[in-house]
Order: sequence, then structure tokens, then C-alpha cells
Amino acid sequence: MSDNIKIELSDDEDIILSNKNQKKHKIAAIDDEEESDRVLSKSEKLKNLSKQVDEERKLQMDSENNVKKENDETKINIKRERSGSDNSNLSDVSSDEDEDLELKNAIKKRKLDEKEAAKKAELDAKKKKDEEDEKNKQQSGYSWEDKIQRPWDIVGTTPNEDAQDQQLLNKILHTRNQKQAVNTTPLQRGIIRSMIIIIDMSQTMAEKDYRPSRFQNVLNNTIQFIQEFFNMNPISQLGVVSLKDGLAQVISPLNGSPKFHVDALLQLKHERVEPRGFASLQNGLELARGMLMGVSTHCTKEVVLLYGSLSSTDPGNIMDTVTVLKEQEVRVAIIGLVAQVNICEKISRITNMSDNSYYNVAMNEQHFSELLMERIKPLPLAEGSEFTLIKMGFPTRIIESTPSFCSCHSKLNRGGYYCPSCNSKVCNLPIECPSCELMLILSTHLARSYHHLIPLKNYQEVPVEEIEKGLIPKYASCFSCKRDFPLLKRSKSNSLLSTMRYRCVDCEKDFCMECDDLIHGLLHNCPGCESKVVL
Amino acid sequence: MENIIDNRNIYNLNNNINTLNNDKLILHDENSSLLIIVIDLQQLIQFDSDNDITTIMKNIIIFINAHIAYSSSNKVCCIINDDKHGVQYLYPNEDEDDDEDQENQSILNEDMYQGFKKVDESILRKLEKIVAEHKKEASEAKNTSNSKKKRSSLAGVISCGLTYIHRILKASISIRARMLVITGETLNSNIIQSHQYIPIMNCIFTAMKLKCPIDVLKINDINLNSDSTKSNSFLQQATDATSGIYLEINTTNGMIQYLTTIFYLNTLITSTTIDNKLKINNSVDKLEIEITNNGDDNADEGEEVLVTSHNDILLKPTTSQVDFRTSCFLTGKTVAIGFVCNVCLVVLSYIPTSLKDCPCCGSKFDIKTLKKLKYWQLQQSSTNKRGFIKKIAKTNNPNGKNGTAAGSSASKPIEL
Repeated sequence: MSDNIKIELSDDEDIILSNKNQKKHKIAAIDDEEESDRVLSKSEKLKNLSKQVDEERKLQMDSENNVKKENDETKINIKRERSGSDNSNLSDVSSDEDEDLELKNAIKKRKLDEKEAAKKAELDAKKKKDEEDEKNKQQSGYSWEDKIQRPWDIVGTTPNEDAQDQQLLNKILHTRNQKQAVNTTPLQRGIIRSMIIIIDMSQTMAEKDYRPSRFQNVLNNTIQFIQEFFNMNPISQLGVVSLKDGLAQVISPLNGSPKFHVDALLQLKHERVEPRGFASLQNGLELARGMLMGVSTHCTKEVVLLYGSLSSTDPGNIMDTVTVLKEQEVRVAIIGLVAQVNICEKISRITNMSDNSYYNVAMNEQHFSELLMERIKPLPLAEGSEFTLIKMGFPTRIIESTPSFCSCHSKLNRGGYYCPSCNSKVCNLPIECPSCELMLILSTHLARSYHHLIPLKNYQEVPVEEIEKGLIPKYASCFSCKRDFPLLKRSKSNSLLSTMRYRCVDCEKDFCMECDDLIHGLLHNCPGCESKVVL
Repeated sequence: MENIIDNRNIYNLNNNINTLNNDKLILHDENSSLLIIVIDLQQLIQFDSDNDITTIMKNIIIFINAHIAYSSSNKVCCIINDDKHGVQYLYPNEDEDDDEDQENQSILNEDMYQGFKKVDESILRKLEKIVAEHKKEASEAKNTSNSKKKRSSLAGVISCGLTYIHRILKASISIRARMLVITGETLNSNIIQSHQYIPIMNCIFTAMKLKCPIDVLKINDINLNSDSTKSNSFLQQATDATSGIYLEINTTNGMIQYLTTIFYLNTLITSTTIDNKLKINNSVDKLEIEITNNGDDNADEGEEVLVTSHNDILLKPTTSQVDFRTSCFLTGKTVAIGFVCNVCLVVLSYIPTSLKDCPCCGSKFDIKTLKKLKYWQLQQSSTNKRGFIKKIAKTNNPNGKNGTAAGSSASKPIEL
């Protein structure tokens, strides 16, 4: 039910974004415990949106009938009531973001729905309502709120096949929209990063709501994260810290080699270390702060905290630590596993220039790994942060006929790189020269980071109308891989569900969904734009 | 993987590398390979009549046929880029209903093996059209004598090839892909390459991820002096990073020899694991495929004859040096020790005395660190003893004005 309204409310994303911003400012300005304020902003949002709904309705009313309108209005009322009660919930802030995702998902669905509604009249509207109720039940975020899922029952039992198609499409679109939500405006980002990952290893992590257990799940995801992190940020450093028995311990110190950290984490797995005791936020943050002390000024200092506990046993006042962290420009991002904790929200807000988006609570395993992977992208630079030139060496590779010792591992090998300033041999790059502390890199390492600086524009989905009007051919294939575009039709009405084509804004070539994923996820250059001969 | 293990039981090689014949038995199993041929027609079409595109294509066609002939499950894809159409697939056909060319059937012998015929016909037909169009245009353009600079679209066509590989790899499990880029250089080329650095780099990273080696064959025009030829450093880096082969030839005479001896064999060896007991170092991702010895008693003997890479069987033509150096943003000189902007990653070889903000992205630099670096630069130019400068600087000024980076940041929090 609420979904349906959100759809209408959100047809203009800008309004929502501005609303969200307003909200953020409010929360930043006033203490976040003032629930009443949030209620206000929420009702404002609703008012705005309902106005918008009305306007939109007027435009489209020609084809739609009055019954539908009444329906919608009642739904809005219901939504109001719902939102009123929602506000008392603890996890409201985090669920807002989820809502936004849902909203965006809903936009597309709504567009599709409206086309349908224009053709079929009231009868279908009723049907749809039921379907969407079902969908709402299925889409309600947290895994523990879900019904028992029996995917084998879904096949063939759904009475309306249209609904099935719709659901399938929605799922695809949903994942796409999440990707689309990534901002592509070029930002100044801190490319050279130093990050401490703090892993909660308290007894709460032994819970089995994440499979196989919270701790194992976090460990697996962290290993994956570390590898991907160094792929994308080759000239960065990383360290891992554990919280256990009220203490914080270094698992692996700040280092630029992924293997080093992965080995340390695998060691934990091998030894079957069990989570135990309580977690101490303050100890963890203080240790991370200490590890980041020695980092040079041109690096960003980041802490990623994976926190499964709902409490913290601290030796002193944690707010003191937080203020020191803020002074030293350490930015803390927290991913909660269970529920929202006020202190975590405060920490991440204060250390991130009152930006709320660095505290997230994962809903399930999938969501958790998504949240973690978001941290791979370098953070935008804070205002007033320093820009510097960094001295770096670009050594040439040399292959020798006689083996010699490298200065980094003291191992015999036949080739390597010579530091241009002190002529000591190292076997792998990037590395800080062991004798003269010069940062040694290859130009390819710099090239790895370019796509963060110049992100590729998102492709836009081609609307169904273009095929219906005959602007583009019905049967066509992807520009780059020549896969034929699938024709997704509704089984009954035979109308197209989606064009499944995604168009580059600049070169106006159409790509299939999988190419779009590859191009934006891995390749980072548009085949169409690159093959233009004349600019 | 299962396939390999099965083979192991059937062809239990007695740890003998020399029995390459046995390998062929394994190859004929489902180890099929996809060959993507990228023809940089934009460059090649400008060649003179001796070396022109038809002779090149004749050789390529033979090469393609050889690839198809090797295994029935081998696949080919041929892509070109040219000025007019941009990227175009010669094979597989995008539009099958090309009935207008029915009379062109005669270009190939009727009795030809159907597998060859299908591919060759499609490639030749399309190419013929393009070349004809180009000749028409060239004759028209000669009168106007335009020397307009054009962008090279090589990165675009390689990107397309990679998406195609991605598509094929997704569809089948056992297939391996590789890419052969055939490009050239003419005397008065009006094609700009310099913008391609970032796109080609991106392609390289993608190819590494897809575990697809990129081979490059560069044909230099006869008119070109041997001194003036520049090796394409971008493509050289591509072959180096993906463990492919980079080769330059000066004539198309006997080009098939190069293709078959160097690139064809490379296909066989890189696209197969010779035996599970032999550890193949697939240096594309430095992943060493090690198969645990299923309780095999001979395992120890087997490990004695590890083949670390296919280089041990065949010597690849090696490029003596790959140009990895970057060039300075301001002077264009190659850089050994450079200064990198931490925002846009631009590389400078020296710091001009008047420099206050980044010449590329315009962000203002911190004056203190800039001073420090300038001071270092001064010392550098005055002394020739490179390695000792830092130590001297440290002892002179222990307070950290020109000390190490670590020292300065440690003192920073206290200032705050």
C-alpha cells in the first residue's frame, strides 16, 4: 500500500533529494532526539509530494478514471497514518534510506503501471492493488520481518503472469537503480588513502542470523573487500583491528599489500578464533587513531567499523575520543549488523562533517556486502583539506642475469625495480623504498585510479514509447557485443514491458544491460564514444 | 576443472614434457578458444598498393581458417574500426539477411569447407564494401587535399571486443579468449593517438580481469624509415600486462609465417593447460593453477618437471623494454622522480618557483609542503650525491621543516 503512494510521491526525485537534504540539515542543527521535528519534516515531505501528485494527476487524468483517484487519496491518508506511527521507531533514520531506494525503484514501476492503467481500466486497477500489497509484503526490507520464502512455490502458481513479469522486471530494475544512484559528478577525491577496518569480535558476533555466523560472514566479506580495495586503490594502505574482551587488538598493521592482510584474516579462520566478551568502541577507535597518527598529511584517514553489538564497554568518555578524531580529520564509517545505535550514528556524523550517510545498518547478508563494497570508492575530499604534491619515484624494470637480494624481503631474485633515488632493489610495486622512504609506483597504478576522478556517465534507459512510435527498430542488437535486445512482453496485453536498451547520452548508442554493467563496473570507457573519429 | 581431472586419468603422462603430441589429445577435448581479431583499418587502409589491405587480409583469412580448423569448437570474431562507420563487426554477422550480395557468392570456391566459407565470406563481403567506399572517398578527397587530424578509435574497438568476450565467456564455461590487434603505421599518418592513454589502460585492466591476453602485430609501412618508427607504447604495455606478444614487422611479404609461427602457437599454448601435473603459471593474474594430487603416488616425480610458463616450451619474442615511464605534464620529459598531485594525479618533473596551484586541476597546494619540496629540489640540483640528501637534510634540521613526511604529520595534531 505504502509503496503505491510513494511511487506517485516520488516522480520527481529532486524534491525528495531536497527534502532529504533539509532533513539532514535539521538533524545536524538540532539534536537528533527531537522526534517532533522529524515528524514535521516528514509531514512537509508528504504535503509537498501530495501536491505534486495532484498536479501530476491533473495531467494524466484524461485517461484515468475517477475511481482511481479516490483510491489514491485514501492511500495517501493511510500513508500519513503509517508514517506517523513509524516515527516512533528507533531505526527510522536508516530506514529512510531504504525508503529512498524503494522510492526510486517505485518510480519505474509506477511509470509502467500508469501505461497499463491507461489501457485497462478499473478492473485492472483493483487487481493491481492486490498484487502490490503482495509485493509490499515481499519487499519489506529486514530479513527477519519477511515471511518464510518458498521460491519453488512462486513458479507457476501466481495467477497473473503479468504480475510475474512485472516482479521479475522490478527486481532487475531495482538492482539497476541502486547502481544508478551512484553519483557520477566528478569530485575531488582523496585517492591516496589509509584505512583501518575494525571488526567486532564480541560474543554477539557468534549469533547465527547472518549465515554461517555473523563473525564468519564479516570475515569473508572483509577478505573480499580487501582484495577489491587494493584493486581499485593501488597506492593506498590498510590495517585491521579486532574488538574482543573489551580490548582492541591489531590483527594486521597498516600495510600496502593485500596478501598480508588476507593472510592475517585467514589465520584467524584457521585457528577457529571464536568471538568472545564485549566490544569497546572507544578502545577500538583510539587504537585506530594511533595507527593513523604516522600517516602523512596527503593521505585520507579512514576508519571502517563493522559493528554487531548494541552496546559498548568503554574505559572513559567516548565523546572525548570522538572530538579528538574530528580534530585529526579521521573519518569513521560504521556498518551496523543488527539495529541502529545512537552512539554509532553520532560518531559517524561528527567525524564526517555532519553527513549522515556514513552510518548504515545492514538488513541481510546481501545488503551488508553491498554496504561494505561502497567503501571502496574514495571519499570526496572535505572542504579545506590540503592539496599537496607528493614526491614519487617511477622506477624502471630490470631483468638481471645474476640474481641479487632485494631490499624489501631480502630474497634472491633475478629482476626487479631500482629506486631512482637510492638505487636499492625492490621486487614488487607499489612500495615505499625501504632505504630512502620514497614512494615507488608504476604509472599503471596511477591509471587504475583515473576512473574515480573521471567517472563515466550513466546510461539512460530508452523509454518504451520510442519503439511504439517506431523511432527505433523493434529488433536491434547491442552496439558493442551484438547481442540482440530481448523483447519483454506482457503475456496478455502483448505490450512491451521494457526496451532493455540503455543509451549513452553522448554518443547515443544503445547497449544491452550486461554490457552496461561491464562498462560501468569494470571497463569505465564507453565503446561508442571512444570509437568516434571526430570530436 | 573437472575436465582436466578427467584427462589426467586418461592420459597419464609420464612426467614427460617432450611428449607434446599427448597434449594435442587434451586440446581436442572441450578446450576451445575464442579468437578476437581487431583490425585497425583506420591505419591499415592508408597503406600503399604494395602492402595494401588486400594482401594483409589474405594472410589474416588464412590465419582465421587455421584457427577454426584446429578445433570444431573454436570461435572467431573479427572487428574493425574505420573512419566512416566507427566500429563494425565483420563476423559474426549482425544482419543475416544480406540477400543483396547473393551474386557475390563467387568470391569463394564453391567446394570450400563450410566452416571456413561462412566466416570468410562474411568478412570479405563487408570488407569489400568498406574498401570500395574508402577508395571512392579517397579519390574525391585528393582534390581537396584535406589533412584533417582524426582521433584514433582503437580503444573503442578494443572495448567492443572486450564486451564481446565477456558475453561469450558468460555463455560457456570452458572457453578461453584472446585478442589479436593488428595495427599499422604509415608515413604521413593524420591519426592522433595521445588521447588514448586512459581508455587503453582501462581496457588493459578489463582484459586482465577477463584473463584475456592481448597480442599486437604492428605493420610498418615500407615508406617508413626504420629510424622513425615508434613502437606504440600503449599497446606494448597492454601486451606486457596481459602476457601477450608484441611484434613489429616491416613487410607483409610472408606475413602468414609470422602469424602462424608466433601467434598461432601462442594460442594453443596459452589456451590450454598442458597437464595437470605441470604447473602452468598463467601470469595474466599471477594465478598458479595447482591441482592437488588426488592421492597419486607419482606426485612427487610430477612436481620435478614443473613448467613455470609456456616460455619454457617455446621462446616468445620478447620486447626488450616496455616503456612504463610517465611523462611530465609540463615539459613532456620522462620522469624518474616526480611530484604527483594528490587530487588529480598529474605528474610533474619539477616544481616551478611560481607554482601555487595544480596546473591541471587548479587545486591550491599547501604552502608549507611546497616549500619543503622546493627546498629538496634545490639541494638535489646542487648536489649529485642523490642518496644522501635526505639524511643531510634530517641532521641539519631535526625539527622537521624538511624532515620526512612521517615526522611532519606526527607534529601536526599538536599544532591543531
